[in-house]
Amino acid sequence: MTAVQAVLLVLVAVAGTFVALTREPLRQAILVGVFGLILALLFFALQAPDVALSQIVVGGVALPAMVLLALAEVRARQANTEDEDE
Amino acid sequence: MIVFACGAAGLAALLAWAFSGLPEFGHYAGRYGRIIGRIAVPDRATTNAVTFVAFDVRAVDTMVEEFIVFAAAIAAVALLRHQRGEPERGQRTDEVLRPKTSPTLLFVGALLAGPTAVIALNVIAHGAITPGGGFQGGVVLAATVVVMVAAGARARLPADEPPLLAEITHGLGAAGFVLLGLAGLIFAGTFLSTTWAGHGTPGALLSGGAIPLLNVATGLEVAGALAVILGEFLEQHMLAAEEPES
Repeated sequence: MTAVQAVLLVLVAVAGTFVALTREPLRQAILVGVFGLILALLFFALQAPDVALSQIVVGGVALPAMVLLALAEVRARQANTEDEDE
Repeated sequence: MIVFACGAAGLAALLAWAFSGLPEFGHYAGRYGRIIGRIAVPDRATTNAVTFVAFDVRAVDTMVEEFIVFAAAIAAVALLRHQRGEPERGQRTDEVLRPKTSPTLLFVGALLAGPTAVIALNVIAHGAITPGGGFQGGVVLAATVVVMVAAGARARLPADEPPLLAEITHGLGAAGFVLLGLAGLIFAGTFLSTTWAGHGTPGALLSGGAIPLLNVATGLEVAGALAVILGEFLEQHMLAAEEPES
């Protein structure tokens, strides 16, 4: 195992812990994107460029985008029900 | 807490035991990978062995995977449309749905959309030669759609108009993969055989038989599926956001 791989492994562990410890969903969505990009770097260092390519887009764009959209949806719905209550 | 401590300790012990038995990095013990490494270039002219496995040796797996994506997209769309209610769609035929974006986002989105699309097509087209392929390129293509929506592009055509381009792409990709498989059955005698489309020079753009074609089909399918899901989410979000005002 090279130094690059070791450093990236530790970084992935640290980033993953931060994602799990974040309690605010919006921050978590951004952090999970950063985590995904670090994970992609690790895949690249482990000589899996095919997987790294998918990971960059899925982890860096698609997953955070879906979480953000779901969040927006939930918030809009909450705002709607509050309006009805008033 | 005590339960967690016991569980964590047990897991750590098992992990340490498992890791101690791992072969050293780069020391591959299986036979299958060696065979693949030996035949990928002489037999199929694919310099990217990963694509060779995914689209030739394990092409049926890839086809089923593609249909998982296909079914997932349809399920998501069905659920979201059901929640929103169909009659509401009909009422909004003349409205153009536009997300509100800041000028900065618009500029960055417009700047990124073109290059992202080119990268996506590049990754799909060179799947058989360099790292990449239909799945990777397809997701990049879907990311292009996200970027375009962020830049203020219309997320969806009104309900009465013909289906969105993404939906057509989605279906075409799934059908294309099966049709290419049938082409293998007709021209080479085996379902999803890739040898019928010629051999080509290793490293050339059009090499590896039907593998580049299968990559294009997969790329269309994955990009279409993700664009359909994201488009559906976006539309719902925008409809929901507009409701309090009306």
